[in-house]
Amino acid sequence: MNGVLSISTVLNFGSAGLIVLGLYIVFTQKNLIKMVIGIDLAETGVNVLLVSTGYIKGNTAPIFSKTGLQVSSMVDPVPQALVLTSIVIGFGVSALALAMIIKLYEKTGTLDTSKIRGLKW
Amino acid sequence: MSIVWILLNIALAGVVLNVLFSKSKIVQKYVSLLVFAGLTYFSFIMYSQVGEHFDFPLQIAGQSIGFTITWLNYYFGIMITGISLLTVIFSLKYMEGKDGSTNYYTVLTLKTFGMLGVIFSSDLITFFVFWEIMSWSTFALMSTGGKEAPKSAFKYFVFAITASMILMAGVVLSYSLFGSFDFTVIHGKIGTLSLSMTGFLLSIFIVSFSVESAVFPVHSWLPDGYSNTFTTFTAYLSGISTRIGIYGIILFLFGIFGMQTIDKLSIIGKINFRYIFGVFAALTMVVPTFTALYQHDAKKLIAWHSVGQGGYMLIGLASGSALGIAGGMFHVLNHMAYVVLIVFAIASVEHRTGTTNLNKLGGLIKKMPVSYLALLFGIIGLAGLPPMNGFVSKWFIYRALILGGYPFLAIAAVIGTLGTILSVYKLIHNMFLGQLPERYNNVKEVGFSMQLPMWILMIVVLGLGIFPGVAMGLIAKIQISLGLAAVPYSLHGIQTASGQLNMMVVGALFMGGLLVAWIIYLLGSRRKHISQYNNYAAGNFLDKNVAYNFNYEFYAAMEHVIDPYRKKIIQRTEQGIAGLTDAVSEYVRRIYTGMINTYGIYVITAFIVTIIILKELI
Amino acid sequence: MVNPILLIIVPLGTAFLISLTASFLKNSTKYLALLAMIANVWVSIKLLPAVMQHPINVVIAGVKPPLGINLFVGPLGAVFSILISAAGLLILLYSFKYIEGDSQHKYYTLFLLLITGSHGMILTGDVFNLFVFFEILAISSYILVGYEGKRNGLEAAVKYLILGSIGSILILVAVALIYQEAGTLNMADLADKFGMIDPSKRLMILVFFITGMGVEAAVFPLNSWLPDAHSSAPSSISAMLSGFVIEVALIIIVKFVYSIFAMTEILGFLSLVAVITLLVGEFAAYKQSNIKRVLAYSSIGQIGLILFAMSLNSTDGLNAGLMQIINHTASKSILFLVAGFLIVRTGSYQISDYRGIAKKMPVSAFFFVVGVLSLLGVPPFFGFFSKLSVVMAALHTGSVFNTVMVFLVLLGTIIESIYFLRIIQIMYNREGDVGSVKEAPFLPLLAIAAFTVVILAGFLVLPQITGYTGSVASEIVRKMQMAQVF
Repeated sequence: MNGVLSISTVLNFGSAGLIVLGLYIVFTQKNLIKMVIGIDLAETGVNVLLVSTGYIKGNTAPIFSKTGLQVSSMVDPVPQALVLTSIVIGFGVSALALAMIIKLYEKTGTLDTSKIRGLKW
Repeated sequence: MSIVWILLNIALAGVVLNVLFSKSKIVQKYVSLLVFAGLTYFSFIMYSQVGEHFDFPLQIAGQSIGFTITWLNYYFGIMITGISLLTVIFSLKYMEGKDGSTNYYTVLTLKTFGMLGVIFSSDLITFFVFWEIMSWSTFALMSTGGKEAPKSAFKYFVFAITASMILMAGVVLSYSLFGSFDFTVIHGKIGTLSLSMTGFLLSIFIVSFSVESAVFPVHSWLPDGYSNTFTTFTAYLSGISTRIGIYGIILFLFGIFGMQTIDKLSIIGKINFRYIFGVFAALTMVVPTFTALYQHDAKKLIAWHSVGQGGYMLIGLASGSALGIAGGMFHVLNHMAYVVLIVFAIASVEHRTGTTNLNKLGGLIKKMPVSYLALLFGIIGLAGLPPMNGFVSKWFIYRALILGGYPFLAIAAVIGTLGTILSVYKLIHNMFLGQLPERYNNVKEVGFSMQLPMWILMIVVLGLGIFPGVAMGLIAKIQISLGLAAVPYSLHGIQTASGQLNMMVVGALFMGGLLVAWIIYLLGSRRKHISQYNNYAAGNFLDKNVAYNFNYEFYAAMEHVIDPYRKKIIQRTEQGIAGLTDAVSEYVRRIYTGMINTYGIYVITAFIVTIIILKELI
Repeated sequence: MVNPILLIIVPLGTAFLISLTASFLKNSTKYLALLAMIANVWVSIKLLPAVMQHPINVVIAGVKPPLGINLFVGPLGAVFSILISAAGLLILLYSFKYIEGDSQHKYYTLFLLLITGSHGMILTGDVFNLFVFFEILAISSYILVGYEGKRNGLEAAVKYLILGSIGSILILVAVALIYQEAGTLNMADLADKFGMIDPSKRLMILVFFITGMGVEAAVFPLNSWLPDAHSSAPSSISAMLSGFVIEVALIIIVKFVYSIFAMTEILGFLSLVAVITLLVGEFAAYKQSNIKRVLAYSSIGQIGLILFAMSLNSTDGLNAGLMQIINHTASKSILFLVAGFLIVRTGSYQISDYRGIAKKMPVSAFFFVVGVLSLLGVPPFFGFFSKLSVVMAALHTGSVFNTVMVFLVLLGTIIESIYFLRIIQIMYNREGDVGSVKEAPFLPLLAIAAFTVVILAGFLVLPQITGYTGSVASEIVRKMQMAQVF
């Protein structure tokens, strides 16, 4: 530790912060686009968390880029694979969300969630 | 081959055939006639198989389920099939050209099927399954008929489904307590329960049956439900359908829980389970009977009496003595006979005049003498006067209450009878006596197929009044099979240490009294037959242009006296519950605000609350 | 022996095939979907007897778990596969006449993706894969909800998407924490190692997972998207969402709590939540005037009932819950599918506009009644036996808490009966007149009739059904073990 924050701690707190911030946006903002941004932010937070789970201090990326690299000197590759998948999914969901919001905007003429309440009770 | 199977298969075949031939009313009619004739025949010869048990080829939770024949369900079985057959015979003409009658015979057969299943079941599951079929077909039955019918049927349904759910809880609770659904097994193990559990379980069952038998606080579905449907269904429903609830009460009180167990459920001294039950029964006798006075519709009036008379049966059962229980059971049969007779008479009048409104009828005695006689027999029975059958069972009940030391309940029974006499007098007066409205000058008596059931029932009503021993023999067998003391009976009445009843003597005295009155009437020779318009009132001559209807507001003065005591508590409570449900629903609905931000907050709140609660649990 | 991976590959592959061939096959692509679904049903039925003997474990790409990804098919997987593919096939047949327009291939593509996701969630043996299949299921259902492109559908879809994304974020956090703490993503391996994790971390994983999955499983108060989405989606999609999608998510929660996390001490809390869900659903449905909203809220109530049964911590309870799932799939599908053509024919969602419709659409109305009766648990329909088993399982535990809960459940049933009966009475009203309305076409009615047969004939094969659900229940109750799986 050496009295300094370890990188894992930074990543953990950073990701938690991103998630909380993202969700906070979702709960407070009434603009649908901003809500999508909030979800993206929170997703990024989760991705950071995922990456940090496989981090081993001082090790390199799990790619055989140079000869002589040992497996033991690499970080855990599984979370990195997971993160890639998760990023792709997140991207897809955001794109879909924005597309739907555009469609919805065409029908309602507003992005304000307090005005889009055709379905309630 | 067991007769129970034959019975149920015939009934089921009847349902299927009625559905298949739903386009042809003629076929439906005769198929139903055949089906019910078969049912009646087989149910009457069933006594040869009493005591036998038949398993269904299906197991629930490893338990075999099925049917059994006992004297108790034999008694109810012949009542069900007999009255169904008479109803069908009566309906052949009555239902001709009526709207909405395509499902008439279908629901009637289905309902009979359900009731037969209920009474012959030997375990809780079969009982519950057929109970549900019966409730739903009662609902279907009530939905047919007039414009108001679906609404009142709906009210019935709300009560019935509540009762069913309570019953289901009771069924499953018994299973988890006794490990079996079988009645005899449960009866054997009932003593092992703690008293509070016994009381709880018994209350569950009794409450749920009370709904079907329309006991006082939960009776309000019955009058509208029974009177808004076809009049023949009114007869069928008041006559037997309500009494399946009584069957359930008899079965569970005496057949499953047993007298010893019930008498242990005491609160303080005499205030025990039976007594509380008796108080509700007394309320059932008095309140609905006086409500009947207010009715301006013959069907509704009888429907209210149908509630009230149930009180007599229950109070007889609640008295707990051999005489009282016999009276209660006998009253089921008697009530069925005379109430169906009364409603058939009303239906005949309705068939010819098109109305059952008491303010519009009158003076039909000369036009429809057979119906008049039927109604007269019926109301004498209903009022509990000799020499008709109602007198006998009511006499048993009064006597049992007095001997058992329940003076207040006995007084309630007498008050109930007073109200009954008043209101049945209104019934017969407003329909057959008094002024004949001009428009009914061409009314004729109904045809033979409608008269036949009335004649049969008149014979039954009078016959059971003079020869109660015919039924008492069967009732004594039931009492013995349930482990109760039997009442020593003779053909004309009973012979007990505390007193005896000989209906031959009573009938003869009564007839003698009538004879004397008739002779006096004949001797007073200043009689003259005049037209109903050759008359005057308050100085005005009455002719057909003067709307002088003595029948209108028949008991206005009496109603003025009773009115202050009518608080309509039940009605208000029901409205309150309905309003509360509406309000709860309205508030719960508003949880779903339609605002996505709120929904997100719900998620995160749920997340936090879950953490807080689970932290304590783990 | 058939390979269970076909259950995922076939619909997924066909979905892509439909997209590729759409330009020249046009609307005929639906027959491709039909072939895929028939294959699916066939595979799942072939799978069942084999799985009942011994669970099948499929290792993908040759790398053995815990490193590799695997499919694990026990009785749970087999029974649910049949449920999903059979219900899917019938709803697909219904869609042939129900879905109209030019670009139907989009519908069928997404339909198959939804099936893929459902199968995947049930069959996968890997936690992250579960997340991926969850996303496939979720995304395809977001789009399907808004498929008609109407205002209400889009609004519901956007709401569903936002809440669904929050849910998937929570699940992904749970996955990350699982990997961080246990170092494995294989379910069986996780089950072995989960007990060794620090209790507070275990709690966090559990809560993240349950709340995340609970959004899809429609547990109160996470279910606020459901009434909107289920009521605005095309009726065939509503039938799928109510019929098996929420149940799949629910069974995943149950499976994790019992056999992977093995944290049965939280079940009391879950059963309380379940009963609240039930009452909220039934009471909210009580005053609805829109037929599909009634059905949607009723689904919430049913989910509450199922979860209640499954959180009784007994094999009986799980068994009862599974029977209730089967009943709900069949009867709620009937109701939604019938409602679909009621809406198409009358052009209205309002129940009051169906006054007397039974005269014009007698067959549909009859099926509706059968569906309602089974949903309410009226004998002798299948629903009676499932509801009876639920009540029996609950009272058999003998605890006062469960007895009180049973009475609340029965109260919910009373409310449910009242609002459903009101609809039936309106449909069978004699005076009502809906004008010139035609009966639904033959093919959809055939699909509905097949569901009806399940309900009506269910009690004849009751011992067989309880045999299968019983082995599913005992699979769930047993904690997963790496050694047993491999």
